[in-house]
Amino acid sequence: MNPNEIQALLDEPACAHNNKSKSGCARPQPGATQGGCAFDGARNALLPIADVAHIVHGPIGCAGSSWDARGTRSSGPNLYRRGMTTDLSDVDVIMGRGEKRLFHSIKQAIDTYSPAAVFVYATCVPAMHGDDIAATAKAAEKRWGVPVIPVDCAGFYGNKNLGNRIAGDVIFRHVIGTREPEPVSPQAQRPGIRTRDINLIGEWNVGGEFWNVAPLFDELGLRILCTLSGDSRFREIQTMHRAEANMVVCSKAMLHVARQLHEQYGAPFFEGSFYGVEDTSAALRGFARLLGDPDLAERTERVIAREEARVVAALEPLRAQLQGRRVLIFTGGYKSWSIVAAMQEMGMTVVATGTEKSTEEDKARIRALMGPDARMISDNDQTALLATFHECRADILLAGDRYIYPTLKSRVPFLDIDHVRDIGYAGYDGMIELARRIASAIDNPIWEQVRRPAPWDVPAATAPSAAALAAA
Amino acid sequence: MSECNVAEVKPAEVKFAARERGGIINPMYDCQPAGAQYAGIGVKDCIPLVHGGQGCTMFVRLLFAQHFKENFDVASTSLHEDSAVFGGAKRVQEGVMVLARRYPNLRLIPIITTCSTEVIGDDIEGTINICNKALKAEFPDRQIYLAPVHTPSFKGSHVSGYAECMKSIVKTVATKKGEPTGKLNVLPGWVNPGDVVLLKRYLKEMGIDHHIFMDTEDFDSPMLPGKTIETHGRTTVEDIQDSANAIGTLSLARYESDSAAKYLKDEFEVPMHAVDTPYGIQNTDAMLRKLAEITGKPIPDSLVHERGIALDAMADLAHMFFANKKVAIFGHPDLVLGLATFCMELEMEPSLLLIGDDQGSKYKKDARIKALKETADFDMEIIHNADLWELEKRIKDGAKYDLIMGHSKGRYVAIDANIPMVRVGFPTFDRAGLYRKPTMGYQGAMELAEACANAMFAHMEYTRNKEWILNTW
Repeated sequence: MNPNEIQALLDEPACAHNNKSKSGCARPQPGATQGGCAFDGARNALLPIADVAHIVHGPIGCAGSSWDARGTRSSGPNLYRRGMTTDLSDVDVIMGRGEKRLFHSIKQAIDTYSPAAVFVYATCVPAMHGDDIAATAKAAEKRWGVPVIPVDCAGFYGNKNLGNRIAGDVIFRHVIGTREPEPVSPQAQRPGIRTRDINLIGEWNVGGEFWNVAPLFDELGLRILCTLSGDSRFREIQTMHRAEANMVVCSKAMLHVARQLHEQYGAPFFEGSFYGVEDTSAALRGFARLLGDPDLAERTERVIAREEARVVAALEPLRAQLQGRRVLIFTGGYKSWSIVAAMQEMGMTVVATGTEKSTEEDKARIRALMGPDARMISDNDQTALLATFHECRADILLAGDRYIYPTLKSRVPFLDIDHVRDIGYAGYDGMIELARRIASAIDNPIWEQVRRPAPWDVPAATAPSAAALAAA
Repeated sequence: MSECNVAEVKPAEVKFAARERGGIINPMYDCQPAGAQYAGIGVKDCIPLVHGGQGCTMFVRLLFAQHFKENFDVASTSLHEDSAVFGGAKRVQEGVMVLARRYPNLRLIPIITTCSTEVIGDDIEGTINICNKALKAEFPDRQIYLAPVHTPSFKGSHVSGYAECMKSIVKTVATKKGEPTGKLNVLPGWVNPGDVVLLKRYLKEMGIDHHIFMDTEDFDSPMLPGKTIETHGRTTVEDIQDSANAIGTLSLARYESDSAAKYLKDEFEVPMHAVDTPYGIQNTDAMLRKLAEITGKPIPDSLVHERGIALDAMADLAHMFFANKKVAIFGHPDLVLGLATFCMELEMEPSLLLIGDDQGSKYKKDARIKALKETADFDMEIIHNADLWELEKRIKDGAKYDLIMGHSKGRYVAIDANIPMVRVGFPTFDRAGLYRKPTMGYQGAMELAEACANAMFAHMEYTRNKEWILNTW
């Protein structure tokens, strides 16, 4: 991929990061960076496609250390969970045998698993080498009659976010529009309801969380042609161009796809989230609005009323426990506000929120939710984060998984809300699950135990007796 | 007279071969920089700086966190397109200075190259010279060692990367011969805190003053009220400096620590003693005898007692449950070859050994492989440069294994084929607390044998397969 192409992806016009004079994606500083590379981003974005072979073209490490580490779930095939790599050796590098290796690996994958398609991810070494993976993919596709999709995502192209964009770009250029959707099957049709086709873009089905929401779409007669890419199949992605409306679920990563679908196929899109009751309801209303379908709007309102009443009832006992508890949220992008709203719905006080990867627009939403003096943390330094936690007298930290162990070690209650986690919090039922988990994390008896000094370090008069401890 | 059929007895065969070269499906190995990072985090006040894309660090840190349930500091130069074209040495300089400013106690930075920066051909040694000058100018009172670690990931594996980083750290920090310390260098290779603790206990019971490289005991770090604990290695820069003045070096892992031991011998005439990694009774015996031989100290009764306890426990299990059970083992070569001996002591048949790494020729000289060929009275396959598909394929083709031993990445092979599995090696994130359990020495042999037995027992119960045998055992 040449620098112009990379810059074009970074300059995504639909991305609010780019509305300002400078691009919102900061250049990383050596020695002070965390987070993944472009390869990580591209593979993470496409790995949930369940029925294709994902081959990492590179030395052993890129696949060796990263495979089997994503919590997205599939309702059917599990081929995506296999870690495949061409395992380039020094001889391959010196003799320029990379393309040959790749060709053989594609053959092996097709022979062994008969995948719906093969995705090939180029890493740093083949990119430097100038392996023509596009040509190799084309030749392999012609030879074996299976679609082979080249993903040019060398780690040094940039950070994880760029990798997400590369993935979206590849999907748009190589896969979308290569097949027409099946007609709606008679069993799926409901009398009096017109089925409308939609897509969800950037929904990863982490921990199966999308299955919390999917039944509502069925009920409303919204046929999801594809969720890019959680629990998706290759044949579904091929038909995405036929959707009448799209929702961009996860941050800015896949905006590119939504914008292209709008520009080239006329399907409008909106950005939303399934975290929290309000957002979930807003997402459902979003489709009714974009489709301009009064009947759908009316049915949507009925579903929302029913679901919200159900959640309120289910949350009632937890609300008493969580009311007034103080939560510090450290996450990026849209979650910096969508989770805030979800916590406030629970009656919790959000003392601060992280804005590491948030846009101005995200920050405006935070201010709307938390007031003009909302405390925002943009530095990802762990020590500073924990200091803020204590300063704000927070009761729990919600953050990504990379904070879990230092946080626990500092005796701070923690809940992992990263997108690589394994438990789903999306939708109405996800909200109930999230509240339940926060409650059990905050009030876990272990915190009392680890914060209290050992009994022999306390003067006898103030030391609680064993009986008192047991009672507490 | 009826004709009787005489069964033909086929002599046992031990095959040693490389995996057929297609692509890799389900890797069981990682790359050199990953191993180098593991060696680097074993030193106190040390932060490895990986010269490559951010993923080279991020994925590996995630693996460490998964395995130890702790976070470790590893930095990245975060290589980008312009560096790929114009060279990335500047980013190393910048990274070193950022780390030095951020961490006032920092004393050692291994600079770990990756495939991309080796292909670019960044001059790491030259950059280190420039960095040293810059460090001296900005921090005249501090000595920060910069160790060049060349670990292109298209060669070797995390095992050789670990060895390379060990050697480079020793080379960089231990620079002059001083007063003899009377201490023994012990290089256990890539092991868990549980094994470090066991080795320290053995050495203490024998009365041997020592340094362990790398001392990973504190990777299992406590939670203390009122304190912030950061998890790091326990080996200090002073310990490494002293390694040149030791009475000898005991290397326990041919592929992970021999090269550093050899360097100390060649450079500072520290005698090198290499033994087979002490898995199982015989290997532990050999290690203790070597220790007695080096130091002239007798093997204490306490260890004789521990040996007796282990033998008693193993004898209770061996014939009744382990005899002729077929075992597939995968992981680091020193671990796998050691476990093969251990299994044979228990009358098990380690019939498939998967070792990674593309440097197949180096295994040809390994005495342990020769010994297995001579002693095995059952069919055995040793596959190098292997992946987990080698195991899965054999199971799909009808091979029967009663037990799988290896790290967590192979768990789905065991789960899908419904074969009991004992987690051992790196990483083992799907069982709690394994990093704390010893696998070496008598105690390790005993605990491992019991883990094998308990895995089989649980399997007998869940599959209702002769679970009643346990009624009377």
